[in-house]
Amino acid sequence: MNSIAEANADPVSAHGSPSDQPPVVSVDRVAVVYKSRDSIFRALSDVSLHVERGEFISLIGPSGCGKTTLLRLIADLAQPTSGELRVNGGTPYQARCDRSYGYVFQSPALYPWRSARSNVMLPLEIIGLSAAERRTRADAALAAVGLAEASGRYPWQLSGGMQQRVSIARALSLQPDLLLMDEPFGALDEITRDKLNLHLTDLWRERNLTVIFVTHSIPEAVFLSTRVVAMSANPGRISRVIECPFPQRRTLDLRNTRQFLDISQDVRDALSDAYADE
Amino acid sequence: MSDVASRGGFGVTTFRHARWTALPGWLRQAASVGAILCMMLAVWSIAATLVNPAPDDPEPGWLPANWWNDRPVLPSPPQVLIATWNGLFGYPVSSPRSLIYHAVVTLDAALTGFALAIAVGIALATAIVHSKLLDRGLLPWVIVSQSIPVLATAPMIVVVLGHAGFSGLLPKAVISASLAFFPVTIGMCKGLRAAGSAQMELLRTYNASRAQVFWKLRWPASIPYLFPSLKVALALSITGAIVGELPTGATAGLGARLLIASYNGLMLLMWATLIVASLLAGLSVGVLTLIERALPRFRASQ
Repeated sequence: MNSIAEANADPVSAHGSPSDQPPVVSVDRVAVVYKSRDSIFRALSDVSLHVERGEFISLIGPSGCGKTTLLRLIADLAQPTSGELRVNGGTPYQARCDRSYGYVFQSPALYPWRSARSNVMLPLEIIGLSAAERRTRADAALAAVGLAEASGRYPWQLSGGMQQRVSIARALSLQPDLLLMDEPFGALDEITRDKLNLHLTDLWRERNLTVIFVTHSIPEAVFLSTRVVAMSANPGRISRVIECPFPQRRTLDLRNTRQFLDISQDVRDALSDAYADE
Repeated sequence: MSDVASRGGFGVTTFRHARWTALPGWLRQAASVGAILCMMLAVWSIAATLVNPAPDDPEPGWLPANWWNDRPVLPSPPQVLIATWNGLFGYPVSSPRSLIYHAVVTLDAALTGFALAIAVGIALATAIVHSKLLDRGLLPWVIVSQSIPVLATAPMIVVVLGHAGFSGLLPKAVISASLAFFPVTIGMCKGLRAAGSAQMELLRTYNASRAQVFWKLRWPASIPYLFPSLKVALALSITGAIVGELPTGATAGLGARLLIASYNGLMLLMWATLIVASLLAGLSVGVLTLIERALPRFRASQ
């Protein structure tokens, strides 16, 4: 399949970091098959992908293409049927035990009985930090997403966008280098989404994060990413990988440039091929 | 999903009218309850008039003469009201003729049973949600246990515990708990599983231990389910304590009072005792509701 060749041929990091380090995430010929009594569902088939430190990878494709499944495999929330995954050179299980990634779910998944600050402190309680340190780090994480003022409020007192920012702060509070995000802004309106995209791209640049981001939105994917991975369904696979060679510092004006529109069109073409397969 | 706690009172307004909806909520609730009470009183009054024979020397008055029969088949509403009033306030509280005295004895056993039921119920639910084996193996027995009438199990519990040297309060409390643990177990099984899958997986990404999952997520998420089951359990524990007084040969307690009334055909005492029993249940559940309201509440956001 040409898709694998393409995915393997471009392990280039936009940050230009030295490539003697192992890739943050490497996925080799991975398949996920769900068998029931009378049917076989191939959620992922022969997927290979290598993500270098500092990259921002978007997974985009029709529903059922396995983009969330791929993210869950990397997070050790699901297991592959065959193939090999490596996170920071070890197994995904080791990476989960080391708490070396932060996961942001589609729903904010906040605990309604906890204030924003207390939600962000949750992972810090789990790893057993002292109360003082928990508070300092939670406040810093909330400040990083621009929610220092709202730290005492409860989830139901926050808008959808603010809730999702709290959940990003929660993922950042463990100070991971790798952020896995499953359609975090899918339920938000366009303007809020723009703001959060800007915020996210700043965080990515300032903290030198590696991000794997699942989305349905082409402009969002192209705006944020160093590479966009277009996937198709049935079986779920990578159909094309598209580079987005923009500078690291990105503003919303970027979306009006010729290059941005061309790349968006590329992604759109790749996806319409994927949808045509259905 | 878990806004059980935030909704109180009647969920459905059966009729709408501008003036009616303008009334404050408590007044509307009181009026609704009052209307039902009036209907029940009407049915009761008609039945009392039809059923009771007239006394030999009828007292003059505007109420039907057979409402004042000394040994009524179905005591009339004012008769029961007077008997209840006298039972509650006609004697000093320490007197064995005072229904307050008996209610306190029953409440003592019921609250001990209630505490037992909470402990056993939560322990069983915790075990059930953590083990597939227990979920399949234990839950059916919990359900079967409730299909056996307490009246049958109560004497057995009394005999077994009596043999082990326990008498008085404990057997009654155990009988009461054997009824009341059930709603706690069922409610907490649901409550401890109420957390959303993302909330659950989040803890998995932190590699949290089972104990952490329980205390950080399962337990707090179950609180909205805890209180409704506690209310049912409290009412059942009072029923259980009363039933427990029947085969224990108790001389005190509302159950003992009922037994005496039943042996001697004292319909008025029986009715008065039953009314005190339901007042007791209503009051205790009311106190529990107040405690629930005093606790900090949260709204589910997803």
